Amino acid sequence: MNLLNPVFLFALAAAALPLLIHLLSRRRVPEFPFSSLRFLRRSDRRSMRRITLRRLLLLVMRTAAVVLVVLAFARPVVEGRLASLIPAQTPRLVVVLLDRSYSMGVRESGGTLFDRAREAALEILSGLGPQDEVAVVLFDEAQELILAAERTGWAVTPQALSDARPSWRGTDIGAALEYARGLIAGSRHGAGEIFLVSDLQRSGMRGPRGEKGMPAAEVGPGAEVPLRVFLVPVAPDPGVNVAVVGVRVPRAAVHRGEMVAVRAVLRSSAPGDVTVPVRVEVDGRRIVEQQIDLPPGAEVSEEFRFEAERSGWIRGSVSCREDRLPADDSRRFTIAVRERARVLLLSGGDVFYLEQALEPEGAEGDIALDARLWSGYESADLRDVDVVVAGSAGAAPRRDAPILRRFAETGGRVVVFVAPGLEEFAAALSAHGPGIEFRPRDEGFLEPRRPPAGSGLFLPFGREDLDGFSRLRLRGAPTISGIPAREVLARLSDGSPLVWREEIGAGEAIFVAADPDAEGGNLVLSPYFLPLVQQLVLARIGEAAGTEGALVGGSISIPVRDGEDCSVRRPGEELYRPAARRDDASGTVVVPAGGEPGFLVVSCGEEWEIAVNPDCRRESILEYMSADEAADSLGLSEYGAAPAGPGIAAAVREAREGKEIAGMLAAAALLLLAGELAVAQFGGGRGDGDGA
Amino acid sequence: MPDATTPAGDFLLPEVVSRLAGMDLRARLIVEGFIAGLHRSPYHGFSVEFAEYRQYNAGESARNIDWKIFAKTDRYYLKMFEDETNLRGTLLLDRSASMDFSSGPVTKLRYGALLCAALSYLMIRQRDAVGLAVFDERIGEIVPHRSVRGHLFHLLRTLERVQAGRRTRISPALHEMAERIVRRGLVVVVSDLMDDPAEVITGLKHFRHRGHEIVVFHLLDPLELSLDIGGEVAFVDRETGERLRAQPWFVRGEYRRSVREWTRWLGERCLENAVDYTLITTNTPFDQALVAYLGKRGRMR
Repeated sequence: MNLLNPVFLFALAAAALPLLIHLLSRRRVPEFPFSSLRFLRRSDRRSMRRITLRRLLLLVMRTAAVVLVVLAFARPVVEGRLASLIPAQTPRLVVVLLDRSYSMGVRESGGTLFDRAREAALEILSGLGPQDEVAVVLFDEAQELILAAERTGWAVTPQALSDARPSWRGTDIGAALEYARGLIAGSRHGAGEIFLVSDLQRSGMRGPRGEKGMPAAEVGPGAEVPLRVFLVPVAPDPGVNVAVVGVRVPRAAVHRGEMVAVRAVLRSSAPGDVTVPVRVEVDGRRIVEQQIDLPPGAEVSEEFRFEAERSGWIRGSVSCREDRLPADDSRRFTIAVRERARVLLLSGGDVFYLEQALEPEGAEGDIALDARLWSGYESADLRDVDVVVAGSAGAAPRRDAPILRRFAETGGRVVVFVAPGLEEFAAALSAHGPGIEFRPRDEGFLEPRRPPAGSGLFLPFGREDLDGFSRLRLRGAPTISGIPAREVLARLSDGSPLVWREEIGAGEAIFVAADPDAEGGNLVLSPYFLPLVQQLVLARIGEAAGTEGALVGGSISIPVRDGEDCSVRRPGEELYRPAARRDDASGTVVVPAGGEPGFLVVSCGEEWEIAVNPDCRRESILEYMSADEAADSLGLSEYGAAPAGPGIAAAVREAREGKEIAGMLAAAALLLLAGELAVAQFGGGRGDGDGA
Repeated sequence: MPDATTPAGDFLLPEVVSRLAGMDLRARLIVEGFIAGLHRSPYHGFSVEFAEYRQYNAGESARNIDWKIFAKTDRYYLKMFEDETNLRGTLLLDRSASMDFSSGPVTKLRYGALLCAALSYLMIRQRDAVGLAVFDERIGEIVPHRSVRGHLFHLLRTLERVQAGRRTRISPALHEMAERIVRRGLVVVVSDLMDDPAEVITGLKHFRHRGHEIVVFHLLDPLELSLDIGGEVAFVDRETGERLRAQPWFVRGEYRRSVREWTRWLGERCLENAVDYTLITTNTPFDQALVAYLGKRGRMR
């Protein structure tokens, strides 16, 4: 126990006053002449015993009351377990961790949860002593140090703290604690305190980072500093939250005039069924709105259909009615709508399988096919063509190679099936020229190697499709050498390239070492031929998966051609900025998505529009833990906890310095005095001769 | 004489009477005031000595109507006579130290003396022979029985001079007085009876044994009944000087029970022995005591 005003202990001498009065009063009992003591003697003994007891009781009560009053003035403080961890007056670094994840944006009466948390943080700061050095950290999944270890000046509200708003990111409390531990370990002080002001969302516990039961930060080898952790839960009132946790857009190409199916995934945290209106907007226009029933705690996906009225990138959003947490009530998406691809099929004769694969009968595909013989087209015909497919059925004239090369250099795509007879043509078209060598193979069949899953060309192929593809039996393909490995997209079982891609000017050429005819094995009869041909014509090889966009705080990979510069415009920014990082190995640039939801515009030769949304999968589940549960999850054995509120400063002070019990002592003294009055009154009133 | 505007009853209050100078005046005041209060009292005698005329009231006996007056005035008047008796009244006044206690303006001894004076006046007025004995643990002063008016002066002077004495020993004093009084008569005991109750009753029975009628005025101070004292005090016994420290609030209940039991026991024993027992506190108007006396006196005629 400590005394904040020990000088008052001198007043304890006043405790002798009741004793003095007691002794003096013993002589002051007045005499009362009475006619006879006959009837008084009977009660004499009991009366005297009672008088003695009462006097002693009064003496004890008065002395105790004086002692308690004096002690109350001395302001005694009882140290708790936590307060004893760090001795008083020890210099320390106080780290205030303020949760700003988007779940802190839950609306309450008079503000948001974050407002209340910020008030609590300011209360904590106001309760710190002059010897404390302070760091303030805003955290969500990342940490931002807005006030770094300042001894003076922190008493004034940091502007950064006043300006802080809930972010669009999720929570990682463990990482924030690690960060704070790091700050303390790196500080010049012998001790540290961490105040964690958070809603203690269950999804924010991403595994304990610290060692269980060890409330100390490691400073160096074998060294530890005392560390105290205070949890300040800012629990919101229970309420309903409906979140749009995902929007699934078509992965295949969408063409103008087609119906687009967008599937929205919604989740409700309400305890019962709720019905919410869901709205889909495209290019700023409301397209669909309908009521959706949501069972409690379950995810419901609902498909919305609308027509792609224009080509290019279209922007859309799926929104539900705004509730207590607006951050997850809307989700953006982008869809690339293309015009139908114009394909010129050149061959030496009948290429039935290729024609069927490019333009299946009875189906309106993405391709507008024009099939001609090698001798049946002119250079001018290539101006209205997106892709040229060179089929088999006879040798291709070598002179056509330069024509198609120029076509590729101006941005076109040439797909060449290197069937027997087309080797020279292919060599002439290839950028590797004489370096490429085609050797006829012996009779027999070869199987393709299983292509890697998720690569651009084979993107539509599932696991079973890829397994089936690797069991194909191909015949007549030449053994090819001289192709750089990075250009090879698929190989045969002997390692020879099966599919490779070369960039030619602004365009590209894709070579397939297979005969697209029944002579070439069972490829054309397999279910994989049509999607493979479609992909060869339509797919953007190396393109990142889908257009569902990126998450706030995350990044997205954009395929880029050699030599191209990329620039990025983030939501809310007018200026283009250089892309962050180029990954030469994958041929992509990694674009950071930024800290706010919206639309990224990435220019890498062509323009990409990417929707950026918060990660609603975890953060929108508004389940909260108690301080004890959180401490257990975080591996804290010694911790203090005080809910955010008006008394937080006092609670923190009590936890840090101990509990001041002056008020209790004063109350006890008052109680004793009241008891003394009652005893004195019950015993015949004050002034009855015992000096009361 | 009382003022015409003052109710006669006020002069029967002990505190009023005690303020007057002269025992004779006080005694007369008490008795005259008492008699004035007994307007049309049936206690007036009808013997040979004329006293006064009084208007006849319906319902009274017509035997004593003075017909001559009726003939002259056409009104009914009763002819009243002073009662005549040969009663010997003995007043025994306790002057022990315990009688010198008072919580108000009048001590028990003073009250007792005034009461005896009033009774003496009344008795002498009715031609009774009155004697007086003052005692504490022994018989003190004795005034022999006489019925002449001049004897009253002697009695009153004795009562005026009476001072508190020593311890109370009622029983020997009663026995001694019972032996001394030869002729049967009325014995009036005025005392706080602070003695062994059984011995007190024995002494009274001795009088009864000798054929006396006894009236006991048990005089107590109101405080002796209530013990209504605040705070812690050291009680000092007036007779023995013994000290006893106590908290009255604590012993009050038991004390009252004891006193109540004591007076009840005395009253019952007196009743058993045909002794008129009257408990009087010193704040009680004298007429109550006189009524008690006259009641007894009337029964003896």
